[in-house]
Amino acid sequence: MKKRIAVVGADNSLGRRVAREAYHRGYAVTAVVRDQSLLDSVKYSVRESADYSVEEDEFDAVIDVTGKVIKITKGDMVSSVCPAESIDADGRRTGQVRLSDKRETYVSEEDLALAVVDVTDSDGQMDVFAGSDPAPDLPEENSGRRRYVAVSDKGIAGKVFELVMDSLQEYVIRFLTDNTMIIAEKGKTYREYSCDCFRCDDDVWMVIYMKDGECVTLILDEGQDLVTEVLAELMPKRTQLVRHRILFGALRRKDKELPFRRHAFTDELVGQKITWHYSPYVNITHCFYTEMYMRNSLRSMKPVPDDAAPEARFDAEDRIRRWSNIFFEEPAQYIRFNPHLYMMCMREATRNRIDPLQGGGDMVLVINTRRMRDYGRGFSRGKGAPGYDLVSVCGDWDDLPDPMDTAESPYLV
Amino acid sequence: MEINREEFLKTGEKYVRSTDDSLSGRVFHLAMDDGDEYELRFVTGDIVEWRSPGGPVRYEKYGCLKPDEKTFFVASILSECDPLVCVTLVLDEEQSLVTMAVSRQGYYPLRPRLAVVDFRFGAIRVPDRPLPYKRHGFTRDLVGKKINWYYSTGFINTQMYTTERYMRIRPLTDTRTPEEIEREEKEIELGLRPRQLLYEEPSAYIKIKDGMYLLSCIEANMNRVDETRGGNNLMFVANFNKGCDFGRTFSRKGDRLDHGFFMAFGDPTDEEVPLETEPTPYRV
Repeated sequence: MKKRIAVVGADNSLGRRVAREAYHRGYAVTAVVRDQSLLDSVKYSVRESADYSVEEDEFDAVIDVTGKVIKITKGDMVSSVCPAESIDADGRRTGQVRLSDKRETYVSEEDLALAVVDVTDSDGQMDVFAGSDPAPDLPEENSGRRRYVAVSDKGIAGKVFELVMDSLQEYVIRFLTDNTMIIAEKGKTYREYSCDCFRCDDDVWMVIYMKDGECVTLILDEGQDLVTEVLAELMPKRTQLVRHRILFGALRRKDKELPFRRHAFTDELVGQKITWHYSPYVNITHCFYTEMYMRNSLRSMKPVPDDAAPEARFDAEDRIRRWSNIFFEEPAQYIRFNPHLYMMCMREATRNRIDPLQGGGDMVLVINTRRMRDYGRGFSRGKGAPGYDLVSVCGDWDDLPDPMDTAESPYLV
Repeated sequence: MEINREEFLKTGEKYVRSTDDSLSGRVFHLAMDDGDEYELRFVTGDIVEWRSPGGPVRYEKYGCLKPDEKTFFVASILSECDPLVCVTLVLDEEQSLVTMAVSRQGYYPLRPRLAVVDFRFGAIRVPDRPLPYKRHGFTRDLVGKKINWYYSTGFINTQMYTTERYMRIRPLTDTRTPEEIEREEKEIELGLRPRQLLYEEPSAYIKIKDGMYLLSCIEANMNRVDETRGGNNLMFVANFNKGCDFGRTFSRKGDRLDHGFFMAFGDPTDEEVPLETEPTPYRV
């Protein structure tokens, strides 16, 4: 059964963020508010109270965000989180919040909300100060018009991984540089590939490379010594249509037994939505509709700024015209790596069925819900040879009702 | 032909004695969503001719069961295929739709028993009619349901559709002989065979129409724990309106292929089964 939590002051800016974070970590949230209209979610129980009063016995935890110090009460145990001197309400979430015994100078409100729920999750009593570093500016490319632009991360050069797949095939991968790797199946010779890498979590790497016309994506999970491989290939007849094959396995470590458990398919995202901010003009909402399908819509597009270039304005308005009343429903698979890291493998098969000249490509995204960021690539035939584009953008949970949450499928019996 | 449940459960045979031959003489044109087109000519009650544009003509043995008057469950082991391929079709005449499941044994050479399956959707071409717009598709309808299935062999199990991707099964009968049980226990004791963990296997549920679903399950975890066991791809159409299922096995017994058609009667159950909520040992 879900743990019950009350967020007192869920109608202020920090309270809204704390309530949302707690809800998406699996708590049954009761928002204790003075003004219900200030809530940005329909996922919670709501209690209106002029003086924010609450019966603490009804809940497993009560988080009070109405004071300067956030108070967390769990039975007889009271913990506290003291924010940094400067709280940045507009700062992006980094997911890398510090809990320390000295007052910090800066924390974004997003990261402060993470800290509050982290302390709520922990077993013991804590009195801590919360701080974080300001999020780096988005790369120039990500703030432009193009959707699929990202640069891969540094740091994988020099690493060596031994993969034992559940097919019992074994591989060794050596990263010569951050963008060059050699790979060999056991007993065979090495082949060299260009690759791109994302550090999706502190100890989880996503590696992408092309091999004989197929796009290979590897998730190398150093924290749990696990690996997941997604092989994307184009179909012979519908040559724009991508098909996936997913294989799980483990990483062999010296003097350690192979882990028994595996990354695996999950239902944990079902019923949730994230709006991804691809550029100032393009926001796409992913609705994780079931374990086998995702729905997406371009409805939440940001207004085009007055000073936008005419080309950008036309592009944005054209997209809204074409997309505003429809959603797509595409086959998707969801894999869980750890409690805040998932992968979605989606392919535009429905679009391609309706019009063989449209869609067919895929998106393989690792979703880090702690950083609220995704990392991945889109693979398609494009105009020439098959290839992939990197994508890595920020997102926000979307907890407001949308017709695509419940609409009957137009595509399935 | 309606089958009497009491009589059926007395038969004691694993596979149904006779498959349905009403497809004999029928022709189906299939337009798959991945661009493939097939013409299927059911020459007799057990031989089908496969044609695809530009491809060779194949004659294959098949078997057919009828989940209802307008739905055919067809399975065929393709000849001269390495790895071994079993094509299973659900031909849905009522909605002019088709689901094709292509199962392969030996796809991973180092795990020859392990089957892998790809699902393909499409439509049946009907002269002078456009192809239907909707398709069969994966469904969440069954999640949370539990069914006790009674097979003619006297074998009973409870299938628990815990998520859209995993099924758990509790056997209520043990079909092994006392000698087999004793031998297995001894092998486990001596460390020659690992003890089996809970039965939770990757699965897929496809909605054919209201009350009718195609279910597939691959014993991949069983095979990962003990590569001499499992790997089987069980596939069947469950007709919940009639309370029965119609399916086929695609597995190995030793070095031999084990493929046959079966039927079972099923009763939904609300009984609390501890296995349903036990934490999974297989997944992080």
